[in-house]
Amino acid sequence: MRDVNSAILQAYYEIVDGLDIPVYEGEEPDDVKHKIYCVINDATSTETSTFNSSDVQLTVQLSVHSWEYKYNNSKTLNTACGAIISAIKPQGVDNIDLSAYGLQMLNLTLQTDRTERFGNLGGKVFISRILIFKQDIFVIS
Amino acid sequence: MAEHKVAGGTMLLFIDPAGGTSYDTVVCLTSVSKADSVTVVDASSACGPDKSPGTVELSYSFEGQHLQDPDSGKISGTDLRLLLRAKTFFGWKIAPVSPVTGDEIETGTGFFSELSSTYAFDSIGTFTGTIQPIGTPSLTIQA
Repeated sequence: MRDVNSAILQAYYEIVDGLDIPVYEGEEPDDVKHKIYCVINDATSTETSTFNSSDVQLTVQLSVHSWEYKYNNSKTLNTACGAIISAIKPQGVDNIDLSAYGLQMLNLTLQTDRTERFGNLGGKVFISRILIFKQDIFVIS
Repeated sequence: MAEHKVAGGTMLLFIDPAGGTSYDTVVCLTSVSKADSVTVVDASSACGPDKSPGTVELSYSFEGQHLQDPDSGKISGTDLRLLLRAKTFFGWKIAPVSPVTGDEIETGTGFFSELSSTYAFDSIGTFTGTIQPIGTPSLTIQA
């Protein structure tokens, strides 16, 4: 049995980073200077191994946050989330290629897509979208 | 490609009404399944009860959601119904879109023995069907 979290988080990080959306792993940034940014939260997994294969079912949460002064209509946030979702799962049955990590991703689904409005905080209106991706991981080697 | 599992949604059903040269993907599939069995022949004798294998029985079933006016390269549930009502023999293939080494590819000719649609009040219209092969389908492994 091999840990897969590092590979998964790195794969998601590289995809979001490639979209020129500021991305952070695990922690919120100290200084929220970007009006759109993404935080990749911890992966949660359950072992689903068979007699002769190592497998896990895993979820990863991406929190995409946005803020604007006084008014925030979520258009920019939704555009950014659209780009992230399209990059992670371009087609209905697509999976992220993890062959470089000796893993195979299967059955990638966007399990949850939730918008949260936090209101006005210090003159900034915050809106976040929580994207939770569920996938099966087969440990090839 | 190295050792790999079969991901959900990757084994698709393709149909070619013309016989098996240019396949169209069946729209919005949610499930494709194969059922292989061998009938059991009673081979009992004075020596006692016995059994032997009879004939191989194959059938293929599928489920999907109706998608009307599909783009080229796809075949709709309604198109399949027209094939059933005309008792058309067609070419079929069950395989990944882009097979890699080790993937299972099966092709053959056959006809629809059953096709059902459900148009419920509060859900997307769906269809299910069953293909009966003619002769022995070709079952290969992608090299």
